[in-house]
Amino acid sequence: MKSSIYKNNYAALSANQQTLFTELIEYACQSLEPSATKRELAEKRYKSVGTWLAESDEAMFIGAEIYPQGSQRIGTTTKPIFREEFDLDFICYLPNAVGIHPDVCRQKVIARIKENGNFKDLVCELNRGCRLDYADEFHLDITPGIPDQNNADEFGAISVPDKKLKEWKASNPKGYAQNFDNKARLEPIYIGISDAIFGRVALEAKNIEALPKHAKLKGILKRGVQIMKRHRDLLFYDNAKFDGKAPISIIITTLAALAYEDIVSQQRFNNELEVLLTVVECMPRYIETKVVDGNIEMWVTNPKNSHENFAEKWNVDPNRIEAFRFWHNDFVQQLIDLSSVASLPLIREKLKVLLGEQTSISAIDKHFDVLNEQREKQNLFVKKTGAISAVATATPVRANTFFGKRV
Amino acid sequence: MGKYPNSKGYIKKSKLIWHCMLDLDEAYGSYTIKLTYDLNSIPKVFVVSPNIYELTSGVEPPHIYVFNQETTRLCLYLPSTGEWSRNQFLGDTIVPWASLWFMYFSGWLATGKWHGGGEHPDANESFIKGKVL
Repeated sequence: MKSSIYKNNYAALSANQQTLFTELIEYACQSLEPSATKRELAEKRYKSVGTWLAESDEAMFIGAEIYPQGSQRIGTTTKPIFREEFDLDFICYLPNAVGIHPDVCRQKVIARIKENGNFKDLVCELNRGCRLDYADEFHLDITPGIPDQNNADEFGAISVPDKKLKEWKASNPKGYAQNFDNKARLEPIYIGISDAIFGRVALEAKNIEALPKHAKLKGILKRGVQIMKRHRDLLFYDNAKFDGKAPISIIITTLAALAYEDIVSQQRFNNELEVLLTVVECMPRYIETKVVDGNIEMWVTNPKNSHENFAEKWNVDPNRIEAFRFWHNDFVQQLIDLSSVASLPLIREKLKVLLGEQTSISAIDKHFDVLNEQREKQNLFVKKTGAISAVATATPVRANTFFGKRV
Repeated sequence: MGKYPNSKGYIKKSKLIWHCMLDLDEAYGSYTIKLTYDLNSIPKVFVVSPNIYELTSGVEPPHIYVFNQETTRLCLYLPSTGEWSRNQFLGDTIVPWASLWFMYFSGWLATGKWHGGGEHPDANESFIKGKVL
């Protein structure tokens, strides 16, 4: 389907303006992610926890391995609002813990981690596992997993404690990530550009008119999921009516991925913005209704486990369905609002509502950083209209230093 | 100066007075500047429209020489460093710098930060919008 958000609101904007919006979304997402330094640090830390577990003398820890799951594995992490720590999720895979009760397993993992002086004071218990709380950096949330006990019979399948810690239930974070990555890797086809493989390059060439270095979205699906999650966090913060009912990340991620996979194979697009907006607009269509035991249920099916409904709770709490609709409608409205403004100060106001105060500033900071890189290299030019551009004209912008105050 | 079709100028008592409309991309807006220049002084750049003072409700942006309801005069280069000298064409220097100034001005309106760098007679002064200097 065509995106009416794009068609009615963005299609008529100038290429410069469309590029600016795309660029600012990209920069906003960059600022929502952990920095490279933070990612390296997190990796070092989770690996050292893994090594510590594997070095235990106890049989259940033989071959223990920790690997990332969830948003950081698929590259859709977003910084939480109003705190510094990112939530990073891991599986502590214990190939030799089969036959142990899930709660005993969880407790043993916690006990073993606490034996290490470096980790002892950082550990707190979670429902399914435990958290290592590195203040101002991240929370490493660790869930134990054992070889598949549920006959899932597919790549990556494991079993993890259920919420009540009574039994092992099927899970497949690796399989989910692989499925998501496969979808995210699909390249949209752009109008006027016949070859999908060179689509990105050609698209950049086509838009060369606009300002410096066309930072395009680093993965439309991933960036889409990030801004949706971010907007969700802002929208539901301090919302008494829907307290605790906000759509969970896995629902947003799964619906967006299904929509993306479908639309890129079915239609051609003018630009990345149109792809993104079409995903947003289409995603509710991928909520299924199924008849289960004579009841009509809403389903967001786990693509790696057709028996798992990520929207399970919707069927016992209709407020959650309403919360999803509330979020989706608001998100669409914010995107429409964004298209209605042209000047940078107003764009920043709209981005603030959409993605938050600091994120909107960071996006604009980055926009000027990129401009300044070109300015330093003396790659800026002035058009006859007086507009600054990275496209070479007769008049380069020479080096200058803004100076002074009143004399 | 002929590079900019949306402009016109005249010479009055051996002083050049030149108006130019700078039509930046939508995000940064359109501005009309007045440039005055004679052999006894450096070129001066004023913003004719929009009224910057009214636009900012009187909050002074960075890198301004004169700022009041009637007059906004921009500081575009470091004096006595050769960035600008009499043997350079105004259209190659002052005009592009004014356009750049307006881009950073938009950024300043948007975020309260001046992204364009520069020097200031008093290095300790802050460019944060709204701060009383």
